[in-house]
Amino acid sequence: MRKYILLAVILFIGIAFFFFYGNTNNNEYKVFKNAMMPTPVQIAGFALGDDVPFLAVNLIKFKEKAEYADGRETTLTGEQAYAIYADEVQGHLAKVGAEPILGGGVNRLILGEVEELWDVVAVVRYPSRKAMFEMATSDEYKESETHRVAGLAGQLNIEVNEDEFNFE
Amino acid sequence: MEVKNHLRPNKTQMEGFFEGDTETEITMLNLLKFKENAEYEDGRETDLTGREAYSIYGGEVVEHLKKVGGKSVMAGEVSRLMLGEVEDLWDSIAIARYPSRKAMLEMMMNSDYQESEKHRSAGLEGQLNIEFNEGAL
Repeated sequence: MRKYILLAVILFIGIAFFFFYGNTNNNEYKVFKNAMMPTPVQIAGFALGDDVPFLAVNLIKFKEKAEYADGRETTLTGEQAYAIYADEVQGHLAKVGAEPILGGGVNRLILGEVEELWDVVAVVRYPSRKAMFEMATSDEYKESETHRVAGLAGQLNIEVNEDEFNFE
Repeated sequence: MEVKNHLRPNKTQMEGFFEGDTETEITMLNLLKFKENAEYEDGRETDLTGREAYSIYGGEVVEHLKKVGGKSVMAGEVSRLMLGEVEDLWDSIAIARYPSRKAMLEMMMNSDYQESEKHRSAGLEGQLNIEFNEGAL
């Protein structure tokens, strides 16, 4: 038993050395900004590029309390208002052939530093930029989006071209 | 807001592996920024780009993940930002699932993993690694 404890201690010291002293990173602080709506350049991007499937990686930060643009009274938290949107958007996604892949609540950052950590990660696969644009500009979507805007403080949405890689 | 990519976890982040729920499945979103040219810590000569060195690690880590019951879920190249602004946009993303924090730590402590990790640190300028619990979407 003592042998194993000793082994564990030696291992831990080795790891600690590896992580704390092996740290040669020379990264600097960079600025980022979450947003609610795309810029004109980002909107124009939907008309460019190939008509191929992509992943949308959403890093989401909620408001503490929901605030509706029409000024209606609400006792919902930001997260609760966003959850209404998240529920309704399933149907909108399906209509344009998109599907939610995975997502969930953020626990912590294992590497790096972020001034204000996001609350939720959500990954969606769209068949094309055109499909996403079609969804985002439909009237039904815009109705659901009132809950998104009410609950969301801001987000990053990263477009990713998925590697054709077999992980099995 | 400010963001900073790192190559290694800090002390608090390392301690986090022993805290809270260390037995439940976790998912990791890696946001990766590569060096232009690979630089190995042992100083060896190389013509590899940062991306190429990292992809050696990426290929090998699949096996290391498997050994502790983890799995690469998806990976890809960042093409653009559809919402928000980032001063220095990441190059790639990778998502991996681990059965627990304990399993991830076990992988990182393995000497075979540390051999593969040399290619990671040669190619990677820095990254964010976000731990989350998958839920119903």
